[in-house]
Amino acid sequence: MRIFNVASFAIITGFGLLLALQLPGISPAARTYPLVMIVLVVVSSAVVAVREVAGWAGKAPLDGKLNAILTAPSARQLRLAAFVAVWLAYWWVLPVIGFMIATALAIFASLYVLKTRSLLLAALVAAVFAILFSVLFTTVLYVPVPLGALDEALIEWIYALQH
Amino acid sequence: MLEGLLAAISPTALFMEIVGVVIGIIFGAIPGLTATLAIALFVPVTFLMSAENGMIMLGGIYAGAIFGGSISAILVDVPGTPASIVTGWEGHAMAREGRAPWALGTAALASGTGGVISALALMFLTPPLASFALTFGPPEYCALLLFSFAVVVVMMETPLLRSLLSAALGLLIATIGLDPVMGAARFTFGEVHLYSGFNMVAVLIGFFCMNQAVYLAFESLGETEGPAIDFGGENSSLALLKTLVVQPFTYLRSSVIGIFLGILPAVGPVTTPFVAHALERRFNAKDEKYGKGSTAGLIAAEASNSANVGGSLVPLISLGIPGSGAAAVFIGALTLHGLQPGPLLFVNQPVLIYTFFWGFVAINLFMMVFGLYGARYFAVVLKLPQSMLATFIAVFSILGAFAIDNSLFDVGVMLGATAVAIWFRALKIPILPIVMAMILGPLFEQQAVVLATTSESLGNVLARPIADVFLAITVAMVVYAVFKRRTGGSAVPMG
Repeated sequence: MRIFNVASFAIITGFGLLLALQLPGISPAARTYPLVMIVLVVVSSAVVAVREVAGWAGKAPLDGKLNAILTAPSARQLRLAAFVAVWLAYWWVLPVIGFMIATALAIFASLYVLKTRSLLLAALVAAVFAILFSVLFTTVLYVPVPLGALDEALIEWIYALQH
Repeated sequence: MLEGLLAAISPTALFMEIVGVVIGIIFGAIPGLTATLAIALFVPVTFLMSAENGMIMLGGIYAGAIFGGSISAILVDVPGTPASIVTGWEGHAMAREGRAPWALGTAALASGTGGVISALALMFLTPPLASFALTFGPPEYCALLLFSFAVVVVMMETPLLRSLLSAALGLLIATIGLDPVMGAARFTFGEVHLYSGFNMVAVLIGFFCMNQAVYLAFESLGETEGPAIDFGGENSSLALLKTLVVQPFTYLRSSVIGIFLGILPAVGPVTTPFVAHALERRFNAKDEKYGKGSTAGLIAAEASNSANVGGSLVPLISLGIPGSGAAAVFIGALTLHGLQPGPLLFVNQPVLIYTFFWGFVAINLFMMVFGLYGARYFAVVLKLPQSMLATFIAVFSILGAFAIDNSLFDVGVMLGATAVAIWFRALKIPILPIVMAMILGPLFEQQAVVLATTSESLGNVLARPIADVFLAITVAMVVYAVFKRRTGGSAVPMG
């Protein structure tokens, strides 16, 4: 745990230093305030890192929820990782395959990895909510979502209904 | 004020009040979902509405969620929100004795009463505070903001240095984008999306919603059967209302404590019931059931945490300073509607503000009625599978972040904020200071730059008595906090 803490605070210090490297490219009048903040971040994170290395920070127990995740059986951890992967993949494939299909697949996959009792129910929920969100975005919220073939068909159908 | 009252009782506003309260109670009743999460998730929905109706809906969600947490605390001894822990001590003990309807009714009545008292305090305390703040120049603003940051840093239970690091990081991240005075680009790395900085609502959704989806997903994988809920008999509204006459000072004392602690930055509705409950114990020394099924204890817990909601909105609306995580999300919502919270809001948008104030009174009355007569129906949400909740919080978080600006970049920001929230949790770096600093950072920088360019010497700053008072309190508070923690007054050692 101490290695993780030291590495983490070193990364935060590094983040401050990375921003410090950008300072010369900023107009002088606009750089004083961020410089002060960078100094504050770098100094405080470096001090915490040093205290961790020296063992002065004491041994505080890991947060209960995170501890439960880290000490859980690997099958449960894998499923949680899959849940996270599903939603990262959703962000990635959304512009590629369009809103409706991506949303339906993501909801179904999420319910599947979280061991929903009935897969049929999961498929039904995924399909119904993907269509519902799509109609909501198109006709009420007017949010232009990434379009796939199904989304275009839905928009055309709604347009035909309206005219 | 009258115009605001009329707007607050218009059909649309009444509808938003009811919708907000219902959504809030549902979210609050589900363990793991907090008021902050509920508000952050619904901020993008307010795009569809006028600013006043959006604020009213979010106010309803805030107040409803704090009360909703008591339903699961009373019925199954699992606080829906951390603000309901004390409610669980008293209310669940009553439920075990077959008095669940009495406990739910008392919680509803106390929440509603505390909420109405805090709404009145909001209405009458905020305008003078805002007019006072109108006299502030850069020295006073800088000193006030420093005071707010210091309160948040010292109030956190985490080590002081880590809380300070969190605030400093927030202030640094807030500098990303165009600077507020010169308009020069800073730390954008050539990325066009960063010219306006990180989208605050996307960051808030990541900090408060998406990471909860991850924890809920984990809990759902170990999920057992839903809790057994026993409602017992019927409650008597008349007998409940009688407590208002028999124990008026319990309601009043707890509400005043809630309002006062709500006004202080960082003392949210989680800490408040503990303070009110402990204080009320002195007035109920002969009550043997106090702490394990006492009506007075339950009133103290519920009236204070509800009153805390209104209290936390006082500095938010009058000074633009959020008193809690939920209030910070509120600021995000206001800025989305092009409104800058602070004293000028009263000058520029008086009708909007009074509409919200009256709306907040109505919200608390609706909450009381729904709680008195509908708590048992809201309890059905306790049966919802957590896998479903985790999935839909995830999908709403992503769609909410996307809908703010139709940007997948904001979704990336939200996912990044989620990772940071989980990482910082492991490091015991608190999130509230970073959120407050990100929100108040641009204002602080603006005032600090004006102060630096207009003041010839430090003497000019020290000649301002209001600024001096804030600075003196800040220094005293920090010195006291450092001393207290060094002498073992803190649960967590200094980092």
